[in-house]
Amino acid sequence: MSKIVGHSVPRLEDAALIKGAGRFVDDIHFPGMLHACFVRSQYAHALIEKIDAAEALKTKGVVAIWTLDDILPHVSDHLLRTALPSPAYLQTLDRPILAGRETVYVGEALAMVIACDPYVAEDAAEKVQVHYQELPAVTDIREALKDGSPTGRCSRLFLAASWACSFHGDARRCRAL
Amino acid sequence: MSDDQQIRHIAVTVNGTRYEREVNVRTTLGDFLRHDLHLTGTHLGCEHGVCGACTVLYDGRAVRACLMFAVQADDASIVTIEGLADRDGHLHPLQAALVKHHGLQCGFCTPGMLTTLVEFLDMNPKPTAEEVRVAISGNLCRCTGYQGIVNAALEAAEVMAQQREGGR
Repeated sequence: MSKIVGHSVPRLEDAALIKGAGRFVDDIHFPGMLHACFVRSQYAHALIEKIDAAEALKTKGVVAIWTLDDILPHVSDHLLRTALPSPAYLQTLDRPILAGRETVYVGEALAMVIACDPYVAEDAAEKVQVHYQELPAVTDIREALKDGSPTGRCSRLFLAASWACSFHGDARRCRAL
Repeated sequence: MSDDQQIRHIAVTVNGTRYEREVNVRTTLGDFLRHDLHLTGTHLGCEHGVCGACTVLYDGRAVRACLMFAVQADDASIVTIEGLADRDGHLHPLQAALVKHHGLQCGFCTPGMLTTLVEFLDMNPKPTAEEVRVAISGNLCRCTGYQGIVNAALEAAEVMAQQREGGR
């Protein structure tokens, strides 16, 4: 007889989680551990002309402030894989780990501030000066369908990321099978 | 740390244990519990009062630990998820019911759900399902769809009523 099928199986993880004894990433502490805070885009679509971290770097306790340019020499790939391959996708949805020359949504991470303390990291992130050149953004699906509508990225030809796939047939025949 | 920081001495009781600590005036109660006292059962989600994960009991009242400063807890009694089971490790009826009714999956919202519902059942020992839903409307869960949590709260209310009857 199966011990699983036909039985209510208690979850192994609940014993810890229900008493607050789980271990999430932010629960892990090491001596001398540093903390990161991200500088985020204030625009839905903009070119990033310059990220000036000089003043922020002077904050006591700040160890480093990195942009995409600082990270590129050290990584094999600067894109986050965000979707499984599918013929429905018209263009890649993979996005950079930090925005480079262009930001495409409010809140996109532009720079990473690393400091001795999370409060100090947040203070310094506030001091990073980002110089933007705002670009048109589209926030309405009907507007997005019009010719010449702004695209998600300047390099793209259209906004649509995927086609919805649907199949038509005789449902009664399916049931008969 | 900046040189202009201000430090205060506080004495706070957490889960029955009294702690005296020097804290920065801008340290939130949530960070104080997690970083200074290493009580990481309280979870910080949104850090601006929306998600409810950081809810703790402050002199019996459910409060957002991300929206309070540690200095405001001076002389107060705090209860977190770590303080809900009894000394022998027996789960609070709400904890037992959440496990039984699949009221948690990833467990991130669980500390806030528990503390919110402990206060709620204290004020409303025989709630309807609708009242439970209103009570947890300030606590976001991305896993369960809430039905299991509501079922657990209703069962816990019954169990607690039976315990009160038995204790007479």
